[in-house]
Amino acid sequence: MQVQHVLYVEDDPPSRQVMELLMRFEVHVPRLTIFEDSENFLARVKALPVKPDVVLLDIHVKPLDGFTMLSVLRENGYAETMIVALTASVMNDEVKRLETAGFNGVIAKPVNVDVFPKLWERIAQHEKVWGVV
Amino acid sequence: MDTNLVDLNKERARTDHLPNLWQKVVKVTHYDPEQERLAHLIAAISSVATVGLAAGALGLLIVSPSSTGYVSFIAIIAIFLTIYLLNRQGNYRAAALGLIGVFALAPLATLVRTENDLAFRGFAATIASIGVLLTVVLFPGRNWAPITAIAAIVAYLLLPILRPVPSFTEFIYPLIGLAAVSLAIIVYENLGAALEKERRATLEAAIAALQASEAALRQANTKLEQDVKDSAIEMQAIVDEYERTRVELEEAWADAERANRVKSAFLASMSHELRTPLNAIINFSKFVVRGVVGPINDQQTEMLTNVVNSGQHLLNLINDVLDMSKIESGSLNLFVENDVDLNTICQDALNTAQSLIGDRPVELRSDIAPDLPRLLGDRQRILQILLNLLSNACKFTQQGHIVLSVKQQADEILISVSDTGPGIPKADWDLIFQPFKQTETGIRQGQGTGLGMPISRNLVELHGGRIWLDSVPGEGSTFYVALPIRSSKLSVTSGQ
Repeated sequence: MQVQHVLYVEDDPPSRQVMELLMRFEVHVPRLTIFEDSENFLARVKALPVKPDVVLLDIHVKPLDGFTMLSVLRENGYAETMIVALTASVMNDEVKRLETAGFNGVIAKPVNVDVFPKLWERIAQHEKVWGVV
Repeated sequence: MDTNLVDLNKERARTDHLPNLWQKVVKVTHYDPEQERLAHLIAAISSVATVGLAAGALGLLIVSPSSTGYVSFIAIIAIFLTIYLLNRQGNYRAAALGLIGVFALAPLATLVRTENDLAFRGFAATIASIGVLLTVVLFPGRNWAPITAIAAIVAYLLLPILRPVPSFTEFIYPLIGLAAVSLAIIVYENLGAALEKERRATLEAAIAALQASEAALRQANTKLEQDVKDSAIEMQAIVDEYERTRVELEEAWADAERANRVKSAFLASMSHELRTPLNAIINFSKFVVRGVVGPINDQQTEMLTNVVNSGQHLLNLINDVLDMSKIESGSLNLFVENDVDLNTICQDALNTAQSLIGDRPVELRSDIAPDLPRLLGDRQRILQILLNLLSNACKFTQQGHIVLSVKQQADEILISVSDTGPGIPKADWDLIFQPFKQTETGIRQGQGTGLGMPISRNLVELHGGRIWLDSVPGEGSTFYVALPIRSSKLSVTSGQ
């Protein structure tokens, strides 16, 4: 399956730019929507003209954190969508929390550009990605 | 009313053993039991004497009405009657003294008027002796008998003044008799008293001894009680001390746990804060090197590659410190999968190792057995172990070869990494697996944290395996890792 549209919520500008480069040059996703914060999150998600195939959520975002955004999405038409956490907090218990909360995987920051295309293939196949690199 | 009744009963009881009439005659009041017996004696003597003398006086009056002797009789009867009444009223001392006086002195007094022969004087002396005896009987323990005896003897000695004695011998015999009997009575009484005294002394000594032993017993008891009290206090002190120590330990434990939580939180946030800028540093450099934003020259490529490598090294350091802190707090958990493929892991590790060798004359070889079984374990962590072993070998080997060999041995996978580096002296073999303890060579090399091997050892042990090494200084080293194919320590992590 080819991923057509990705939604990425991230408050760190360099990280947003890295993701743009990854999407454009490494995995060739035609459409990337970026939210710089989680203000009016649900309204903005509902206002999207095209529903994203994959959602990437930073965890330390304000005002809603990654966990809250996840539950909002799951309750509003995103029950089956691949939602992956993107975080620099990769202590084991934090990964466990992400798993328990209902994420479909985690990608560690800094993103390993060499490994990312392989991870993305698996995400596109709706495989869970828990191997933290 | 009731009290009177009780007193009457008591009184009756005292005289119950006597015949009815006699009871009335000898009835006495308020004596102690010992004196009461003597009071009965006084009553008996005085009443018998009164009746007897009255009969005698009556007889004398009938036989010779002209005789004046009965006047003496009446005087003596009056004295006995007085004694009887005094005794009956309870005036014991007066009655007793009266009775003694009558016996000791009255017969002597009658000698003035009656016959003056030896028989009469002898009779009077005998009666006087009875007076001495009565003193002993009626006043036991007072030792008044000598007074009565002297009084009787003086009275007898004074007799010749009132009436001349017929002869000296007639005078002296009754006197000797009186003195001898009195002496005998006095000696007997004192002997008895001495015996009594001795008996009492013995008794008192026994009582004193008894009291002494009782006191000793009481003292011992008090001491025992004190001892028990003391040991109870001591025990309480020990219990208090124990309790204090326990509370202190609990507080120290709570402090340590708090400190540990703070440390973990600090490390987590630290790791997060360091990783976020590295995401930009490493990845922007990589994109520029790849030319996605336009062509760059060789010098720029080299410099940016160094930025990438340094960033990667910094990230490795952060990862190592984070791993070590997780190991130390016991919170490093494996992400266990059922079918870990060692072939791909080995290929990944060899690719990385080849890039680390660069252009040194080092040959990287592998000897990986075909048909290796799939492992139960943490894919990333096994890769991390292999990378640690290989990168260590690459770091220290300047020329020669590095060989990665993997084979199955019973229910274990045996991995070995051999190199032709400087080797490790035996003294350092244990040091290598301890955190923050690099060997001399490692320190000279100036790379790494010295955490790679300790982390690898912990990861191997978490998999239920073993890690060890063999080395000849100057020739090279071989590191071995034995991993169980299916460790009973592991179970597949849920949520996959």
